Amino acid sequence: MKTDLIVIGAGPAGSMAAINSKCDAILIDQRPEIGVPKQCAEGVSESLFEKIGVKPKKEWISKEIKATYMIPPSGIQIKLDDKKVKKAKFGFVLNRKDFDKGLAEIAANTGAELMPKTRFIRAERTERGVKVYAKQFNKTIEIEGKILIACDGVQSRAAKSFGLDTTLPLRYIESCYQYEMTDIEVESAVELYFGRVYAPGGYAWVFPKGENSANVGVGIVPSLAEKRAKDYLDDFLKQKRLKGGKIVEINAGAVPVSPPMKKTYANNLMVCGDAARMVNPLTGGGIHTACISGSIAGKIATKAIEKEDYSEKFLSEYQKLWRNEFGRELEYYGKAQEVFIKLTDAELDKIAESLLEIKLEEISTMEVLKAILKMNPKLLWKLKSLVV
Amino acid sequence: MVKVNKDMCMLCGGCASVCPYNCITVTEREVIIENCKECGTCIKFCPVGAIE
Ligand SMILES: Cc1cc2nc3c(=O)[nH]c(=O)nc-3n(C[C@H](O)[C@H](O)[C@H](O)COP(=O)(O)OP(=O)(O)OC[C@H]3O[C@@H](n4cnc5c(N)ncnc54)[C@H](O)[C@@H]3O)c2cc1C
Ligand code: SF4
Ligand code: SF4
Repeated sequence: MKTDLIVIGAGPAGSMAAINSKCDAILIDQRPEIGVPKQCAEGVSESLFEKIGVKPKKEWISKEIKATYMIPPSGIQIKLDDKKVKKAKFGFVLNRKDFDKGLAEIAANTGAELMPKTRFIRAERTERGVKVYAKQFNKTIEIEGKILIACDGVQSRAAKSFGLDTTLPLRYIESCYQYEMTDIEVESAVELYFGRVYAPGGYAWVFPKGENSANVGVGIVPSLAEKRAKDYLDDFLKQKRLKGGKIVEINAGAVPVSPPMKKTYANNLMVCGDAARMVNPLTGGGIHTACISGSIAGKIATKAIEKEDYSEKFLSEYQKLWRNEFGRELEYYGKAQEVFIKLTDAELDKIAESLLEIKLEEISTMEVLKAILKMNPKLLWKLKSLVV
Repeated sequence: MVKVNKDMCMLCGGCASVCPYNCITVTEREVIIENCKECGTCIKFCPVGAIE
């Protein structure tokens, strides 16, 4: 089989890469059904669809969010809503199964050849560009192309094939476990629970999905944890807030919480989204960055194929562009995470208290972080010592 | 050689991303481990404790 562009993984990064490419493209994913199983809490900010230039379908959005609760171990609630936030656009909880499948559908409709249940095994460079070996049912197929875009998520085999090391140390990954629950009371608000009691190195969350259902989960940093993610979640479920809730789905997953990979391109290769560790290390959010990096890679691939230049020099433009979009931010959040991860539960309680009266211009990780630093100068010093 | 308990495993893929020796492949239906060096990293990661 021959094509120009081969994209591995039809998550948000891969589908956006295919959508934004104007050349012959093949998009493969090992899953028989794109988007399933869900491995996500599904929270995104308001700006996502505008940023990626895709009009959302109704079924992609489960719930519009009107407030955020931040809850430290002491149990006090910092509620950010339209009384506290001037531009009170909080974002959505998506329906990732429909969202991922919907994006893959757009990719297929705009010319990419989509191949589900096709697992990348390895790739090699050839005279013409790249050759990918993949398993489709019981057959090994060979796909020849000019450029490979690796969007195969945390496991990231494709980049490794070309010698880029994507292994994550246990300090820089989150082990996640989640129940989709029903028969619980929810508002149109996301709830974030911080502290070692709930989730060492990460947080526990309740993200509403419907009238009485929500994604309830935890993400922990394994090197700081005393038990499995599942144990933290089962303990979290014991609180009154969630009593009587029923579990309708179980999800597990991994989130990179490291700064993004230093080099995300090589001859004939670009790496996007989770595969390149492009996740906000403070929040664990990676949908935006996956979509944006994928879009950029798709465009650069198109240019490279037009110019018949697949060299690492040409493709380095990809890294420049995604860095411009969100690179510095992710580095900064990475530093902030280094500071926050060391805080004791008592310190977190104190910080939360300092936030009871905060007012924000808009809701974003940066705005919240700035407010926390303003009220807690000691943290600011620590962070500054890491940044310079 | 570590072993994955199939009844426990959620096929989340996380173990494959932490193995320092690239021994693990998680497909859509199984976890394949080859040439394991018994470092224990994957065991510590697994959200459900499926690896022994
Ligand atoms: C529990 C949990 C909660 C999260 N919550 C949020 C949240 O609320 N908000 C947010 O923004 N982000 C969240 N994230 C992160 C978010 O899910 C990811 O950042 C996002 O999915 C990254 O998109 P991607 O396209 O890079 O990778 P993925 O969505 O992981 O897609 C990778 C694709 O590659 C395929 N693939 C893998 N290996 C192969 C192979 N060998 N051959 C073929 N195909 C392959 C997979 O099947 C998959 O479809 C969460 C993650 C987890 C685990
Ligand atoms: S980390 Fe555990 S649950 Fe996830 S794929 Fe590996 S063995 Fe299975
Ligand atoms: S024990 Fe270590 S070497 Fe063996 S599979 Fe697990 S992470 Fe890899």
